[in-house]
Amino acid sequence: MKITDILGMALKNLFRRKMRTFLTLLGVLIGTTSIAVMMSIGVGLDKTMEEQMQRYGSLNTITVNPYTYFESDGMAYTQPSVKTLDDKAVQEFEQIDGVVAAMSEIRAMLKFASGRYIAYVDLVGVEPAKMQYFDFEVSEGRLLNEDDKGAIVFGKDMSYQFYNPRSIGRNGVIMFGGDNNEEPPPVNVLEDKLIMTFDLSYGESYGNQPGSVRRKTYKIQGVGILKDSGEHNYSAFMNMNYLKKLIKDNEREERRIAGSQSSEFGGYAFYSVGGMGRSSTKESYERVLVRVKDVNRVEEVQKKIQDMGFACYSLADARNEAKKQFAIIQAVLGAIGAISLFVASLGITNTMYMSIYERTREIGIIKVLGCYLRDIRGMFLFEAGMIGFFGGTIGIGVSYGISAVINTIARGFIPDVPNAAISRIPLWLALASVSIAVLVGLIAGYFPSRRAMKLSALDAIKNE
Amino acid sequence: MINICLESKKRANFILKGVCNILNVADKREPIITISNLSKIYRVGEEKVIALENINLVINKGEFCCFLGTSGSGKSTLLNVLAGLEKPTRGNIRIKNVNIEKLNEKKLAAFRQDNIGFIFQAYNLVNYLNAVENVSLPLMFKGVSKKERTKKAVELLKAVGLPKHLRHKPTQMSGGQQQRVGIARAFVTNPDIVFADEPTGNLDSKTSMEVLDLMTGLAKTNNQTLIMVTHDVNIAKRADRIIYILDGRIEKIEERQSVGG
Repeated sequence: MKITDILGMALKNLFRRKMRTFLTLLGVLIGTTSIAVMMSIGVGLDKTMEEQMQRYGSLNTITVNPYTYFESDGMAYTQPSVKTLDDKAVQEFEQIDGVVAAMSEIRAMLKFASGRYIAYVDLVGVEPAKMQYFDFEVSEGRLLNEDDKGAIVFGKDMSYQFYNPRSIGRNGVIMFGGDNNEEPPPVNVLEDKLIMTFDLSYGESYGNQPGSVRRKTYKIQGVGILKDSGEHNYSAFMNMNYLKKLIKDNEREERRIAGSQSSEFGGYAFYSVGGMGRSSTKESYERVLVRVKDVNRVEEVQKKIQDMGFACYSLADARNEAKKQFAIIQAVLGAIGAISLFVASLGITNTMYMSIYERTREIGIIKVLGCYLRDIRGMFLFEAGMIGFFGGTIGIGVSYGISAVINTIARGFIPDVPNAAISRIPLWLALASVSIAVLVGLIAGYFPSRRAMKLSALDAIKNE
Repeated sequence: MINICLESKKRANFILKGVCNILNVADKREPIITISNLSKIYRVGEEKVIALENINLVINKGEFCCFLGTSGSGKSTLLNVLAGLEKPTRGNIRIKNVNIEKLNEKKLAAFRQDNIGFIFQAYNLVNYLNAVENVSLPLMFKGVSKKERTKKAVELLKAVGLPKHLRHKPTQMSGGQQQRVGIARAFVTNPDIVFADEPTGNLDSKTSMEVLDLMTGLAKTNNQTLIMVTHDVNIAKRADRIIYILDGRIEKIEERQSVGG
């Protein structure tokens, strides 16, 4: 018998018993839908978490700190690392297999000013050539160049940090802009004139401060604004070499002031190029970022860096932990769905047995007429498989619908993540669900089909 | 092994000769079925029921042969064993030089596809298929393409006088019409042997004769062997040869060469 004929006979039989086929199919449909929807929630939660994490920083990035981390008696301790987190260490990191780039950074807390507006700034000195490896992308302007000096790249929300100190007196509160700020920022950082100073009291008068000294200011200009990124939104970035120079310059100035004046002065700038404090003699970076090419190798690279004697962490740690938990959730949800599909498979088996009882005579006739046993089995298996296939396919369609409804409802509860999708049905899940439904159909149809095959032709055609 | 084969062949030849002698039939006719020492015993609980006992018979190609007997005589069992639907307890059956009692299920199915047609008392059409589909069933099992088998089925349905009932379902047809479809189905593969089990059992006498004419007509045209089982003497009279079966044995054989030809 041709496969198309077997298929045709099976279809004919399914359509002949529309109601029963429909009900059996409905069972499979519900089973498949419950599996798919349950799993989709597992997948969706997992993905949503990953996306949320990516807002805090790249999963491919390892942060290395200049101290070691150890556990003892269930307590975690840190102590300064034996090795120095210097340029040599950075080079070593870059030589680890799977590492794209390692970038050191220095940070300084200082102040920017533009006209009447001032802002406290977390200024990060970075290596311009390596910025591209660490998710720096501009929405306006450009990134830093190697020979930039006073060029600054601003985080997305940095320009909203400027405020007018004189308006505090009137309102009593400082109004900072946020993500959803509809007003334009008070300072156009790319166009307006900007200066920078290490004097944190700049532009503000805390009453009568004795010994207040006018400090140096440096000219800077904004060259770019970064795209939205949870990690970089509230920082500004500068060429590291220039920032180092400015810090040295400032240290000289501070020493000079300290030498000329015995009293303490208004404000310190906090910066961290000299390791844990300025007193440290080691030239150790506060932190070094290491970019790994493949997210799955992060753990391996991290282990190597730890073996080198540095403490490091990455979002991959948290991600792996969460993944394990979500895997359990997924398994539990999947199992709940599987139960209903199992019940549906009993429905298929029952339908097939019923069908065979009804068709005993027909089966006998086709046997006598010379139909091969495997073709008879094929017909029944096809019938059962098709119930699985149609039930599964329609079930997946329904699942996509339910998934959309769940997401619409869920979005109301998590407004802070735009387009959060709690339930997702990736292609693999859709295909797997249909395959499982077909497989369940075939398994459910197997024993009935054997029964049909073994029916005695003679008994079947006996005259009643 | 070879010895055994030779032995059984010798024995078969011997029996064949014997039978031919008994029947006084000249060798000009080609035997198509040879039954030797055939017995069929059923076990019903502790008791043994002998359905067929030591049957020896040769049926020739193109012959219309009828097993006549009362209900329970064993005539239907004989037909079933010949068709390979039941295994004999003893003895063997050679059809076209194949010992069919030794074939497995798969080979039997293939053998039936190629060589055997069936006509039943209760027509046994598949209810949800129309006339053309019913007739083309055996061709479908053989893997013939839909176009070809439909063409053949339509041809046969026209030959049995149902050109206007091609798309009718069995339930939309009379008994006589259904049996015509049954006959068309039996002949559609152009088999060498057609078995008919009480083909007129459910029909009135007029329709019975029409159906018989159809069967014999088709069989004679293609020189096919027709083997019919009946309890009706009037129907049996249409055969070339009547084999009277009683209590599982051949009671007598009546040659009716002149009739039906």
